[in-house]
Amino acid sequence: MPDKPVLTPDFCLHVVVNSTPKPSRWNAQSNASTTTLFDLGVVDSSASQVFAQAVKSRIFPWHIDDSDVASSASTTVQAAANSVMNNAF
Amino acid sequence: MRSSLGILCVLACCAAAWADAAKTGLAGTAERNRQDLSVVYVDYSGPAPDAASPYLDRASWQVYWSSGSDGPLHRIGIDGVTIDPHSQMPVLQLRLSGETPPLDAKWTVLFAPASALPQVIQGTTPKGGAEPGQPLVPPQSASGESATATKASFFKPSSNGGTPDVSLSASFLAAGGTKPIYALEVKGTVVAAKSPLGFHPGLSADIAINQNTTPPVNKTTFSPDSITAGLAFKRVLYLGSLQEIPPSAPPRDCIVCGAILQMNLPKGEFSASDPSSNIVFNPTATLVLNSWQPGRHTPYFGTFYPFFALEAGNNLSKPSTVNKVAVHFSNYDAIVRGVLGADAVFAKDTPDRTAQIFSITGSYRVRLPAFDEPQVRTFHQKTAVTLGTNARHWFEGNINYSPWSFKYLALTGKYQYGELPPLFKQVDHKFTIGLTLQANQTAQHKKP
Repeated sequence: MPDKPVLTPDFCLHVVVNSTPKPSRWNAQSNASTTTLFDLGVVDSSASQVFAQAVKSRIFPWHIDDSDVASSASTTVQAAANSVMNNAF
Repeated sequence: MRSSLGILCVLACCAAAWADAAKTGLAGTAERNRQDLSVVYVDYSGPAPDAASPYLDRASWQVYWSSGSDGPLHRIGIDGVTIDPHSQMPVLQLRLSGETPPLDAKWTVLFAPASALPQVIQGTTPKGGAEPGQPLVPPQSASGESATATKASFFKPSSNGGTPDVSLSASFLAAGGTKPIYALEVKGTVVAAKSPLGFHPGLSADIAINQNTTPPVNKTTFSPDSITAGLAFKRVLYLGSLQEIPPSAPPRDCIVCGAILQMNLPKGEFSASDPSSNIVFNPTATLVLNSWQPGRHTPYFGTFYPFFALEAGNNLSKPSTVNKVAVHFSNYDAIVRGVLGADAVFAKDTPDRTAQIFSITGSYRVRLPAFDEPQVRTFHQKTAVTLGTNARHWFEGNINYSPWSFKYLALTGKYQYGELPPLFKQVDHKFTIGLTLQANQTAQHKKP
């Protein structure tokens, strides 16, 4: 069993950004409340499903249902991180 | 003079509006750290508050909680309010003093600075408990509903790219000397939200009606050309690296980000115009490659997804005639086909990324039969039917235009060429213009 990560807003943000197809587009100047998942490569329904699966894999040993991860392209990074924070168990 | 005064007023209004937009504000959401229940996170918007701001003054904050809608109200003081200067999340961290409310308590944050009107923020209770891996019952609201559940419709508009989960394409032909011809095509996979053993069970269907009907006709009919339908199990795999990325190292973009596996178990292939039907098991794999985007904030993108599948099954019924040509299909029994192909999309989204204005999609499949299968070709109104193992190609291209107000509807121009099972009748450079009703299943792509 891997070490238990602490579910903080920053940890959830880290998980969300690194689960997108283009995390290299995220930098220190990026704004979580205006950057959308589309900007980080979640452009269509297939990428959206893979993104939710990536989040699920990255927060292990925490668990989250696929359908609880806010993953549509118009979702902001902050809203996606909040969905992880609120729904992981 | 009067005009100068007007310009000054406009400039003053713009400056005031800009100053308001640049102010720090509360986003209206607050949540607790489930591992340290004495910590509350409050989201803010705008620039980070400075040390003299009332947002960082603990006297401006109060937290109230109760164990239920009828329970006694408790007030908790705040030990300190901090903001992580290195955090990219706009979050204030409130540390509660004294007794912390239990995990399932209803709680509210009150921001009441001396210089402004107070604001109330309803707290969100996290879904899980303090230990990972131990599922808890989601917290209940006063009305008995899950506090985290959102009431969403089963379908939502098909936005952001490519293939919708469900689509209905329709075209209509009316001309002198013929009855109207309606051509319909229904495609889609609808899956259950729950996934026992990691697979989402569902139904998949691909129905083409009147696709090969040509005028003149003396009666309007609905004659299915090709129907495939079956029980489907779907699983999505993430194929990117799960290695922990140190903050100092630049993150790497994935090339092959994931795969979508689908098992159609079993799938029927039917044609109503000729009494022919097959039953096949059909595992498929779609590789989800990283998309092409010319810039970070541009609305354009392109995708290319390779597709692999196997179709294995048996012929259930053989026609004795095809297009009034006598045929003899006694060797047509076992069916094993390899299927290769790819789906590509180039699209433009709306600025808010909630809808797709324009898209060009292309889908190519080649079926490689291992055993003899029929092939029907018509040249100069003469039909030739053969049995063989030669490759069967299929290409479909679409140009879709959907104005912003058309959430579920798109104007579609479609091009088709090739052959589809069960009889692999050739569709020869067919162009259609019509309407497509399309939607995505909400459970597969959640919006916040």
